[in-house]
Amino acid sequence: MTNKPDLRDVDEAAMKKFCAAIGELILWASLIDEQLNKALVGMFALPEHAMIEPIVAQLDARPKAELLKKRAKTIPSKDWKNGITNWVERAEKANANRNTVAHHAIRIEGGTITLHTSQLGKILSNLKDSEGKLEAGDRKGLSDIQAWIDQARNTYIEGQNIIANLDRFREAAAKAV
Amino acid sequence: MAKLPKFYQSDSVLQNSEFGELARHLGFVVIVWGLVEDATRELLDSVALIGERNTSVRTTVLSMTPFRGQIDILRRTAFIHQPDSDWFKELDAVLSEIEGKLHEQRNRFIHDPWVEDDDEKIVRTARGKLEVSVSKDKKGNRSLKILEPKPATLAEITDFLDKAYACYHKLIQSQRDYLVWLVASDARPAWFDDVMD
Repeated sequence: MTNKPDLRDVDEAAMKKFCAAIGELILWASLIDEQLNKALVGMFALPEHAMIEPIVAQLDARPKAELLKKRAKTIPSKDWKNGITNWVERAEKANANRNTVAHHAIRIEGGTITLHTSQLGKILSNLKDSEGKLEAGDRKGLSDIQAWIDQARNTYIEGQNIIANLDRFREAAAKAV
Repeated sequence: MAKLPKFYQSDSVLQNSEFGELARHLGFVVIVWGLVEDATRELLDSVALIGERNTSVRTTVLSMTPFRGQIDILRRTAFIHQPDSDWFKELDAVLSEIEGKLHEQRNRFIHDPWVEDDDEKIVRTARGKLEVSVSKDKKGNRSLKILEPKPATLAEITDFLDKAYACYHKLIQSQRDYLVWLVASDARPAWFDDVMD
C-alpha cells in the first residue's frame, strides 16, 4: 500500500469516528436521492419501464425537488400537499449537507477535526455579521455531521411512508381506470 | 503525528452488519479525494499563478475555478512551463488518472445507493447513465442491458484509495520538483529575487 499522508495532531480513533460519520451521512443521502427518483415516477405517474428510473436518476437533485414541489401544488388534499412538500424540503437539506461533507477538505486544529473549504463562494456564504463586523462562520465538525445524520435518517423514514402512499394511490388509480 | 487509519483489504462481500465499516471507508474516500483536490490546486498555484505576488488574487482565481477546470488549466500551463519532458509526461499521466477513472469511481461511491439485498448482503446499484445501455451483438441486433446491482466489497474502495494516495504523492513530488527547478531557472518571477534580496 502507498504511504498515507500524515495528519498532524489527531488520534486515529477520532479520525475513524469522523470518517464513519461522513460515510453514514453519504449513505443516507444516496438513499434519499433514490427516494426522490421513485417519488418523481409516482407523482408524475410515469409508465413502468426499465428505462424510466435511470432517466429520472440523471436529473440533479435540485430539479428533481423543484419538479416534486411544483407537482405537489396541484394536489387537492392539503395534508398530502404539505406532507410531500415538507419531505422534499428536508430531502433537499439532506442533499445540501451531503454536499458539504463531500466537497470540503478537513483541517485539524488543536486535535479537533473540522470541515474546511478553499472555495471563495462557500466562504462568503458562510460569513456572519457580528455587530457590524463580518466574521467567518463556525467551521462544521463532528457534532454537526451527527445532527445531519439524525435529520437524514428521519427524512428517509418519512420518505418510505410517502412512497408507500404513492404506490397505494397508483394501485387504486389503476383499478379505477 | 498520526496517519490515516488502516483499511481492511477484504475481498469478501459485505454483510448487512458491516454498514458501519462501509460508512467509514466512504468517509476515507471523501477525505482522500479532498487531499487530491488540494494538492492539484497547490500545484496549479505554483505552475500558473506564482508570478502574481498578491496571494489574495491567486486565492480568488483558484477558488472560483471548478476542479475539472483546474486540471485543464494545469495541464496546459504545465506544458508551457515544463522543466523537462519527463516531468510533464508524469504529471500528464497523473492528471489523466485523476480526471478519468478515479473521478468517476469517486462519484459512483458517493452517489450510488448502497443497499441490502435479499441475501442480507450489501450491494451497490449503479445510477444514471451507467445503469442502462443499449448494446449490439455480432449480428447487429440491439438489446437493452440493465446493470445488475454489484456486490459490495471493501477491496474496491481500498483499491481506489491506494490509487488516489499514489496520485496525491505524485502531485506533491511534481510541485517540489517544479519549485526546485524554478528557483534555479531564469523563469522564476522577479518578486522571488526581491524577497531574496
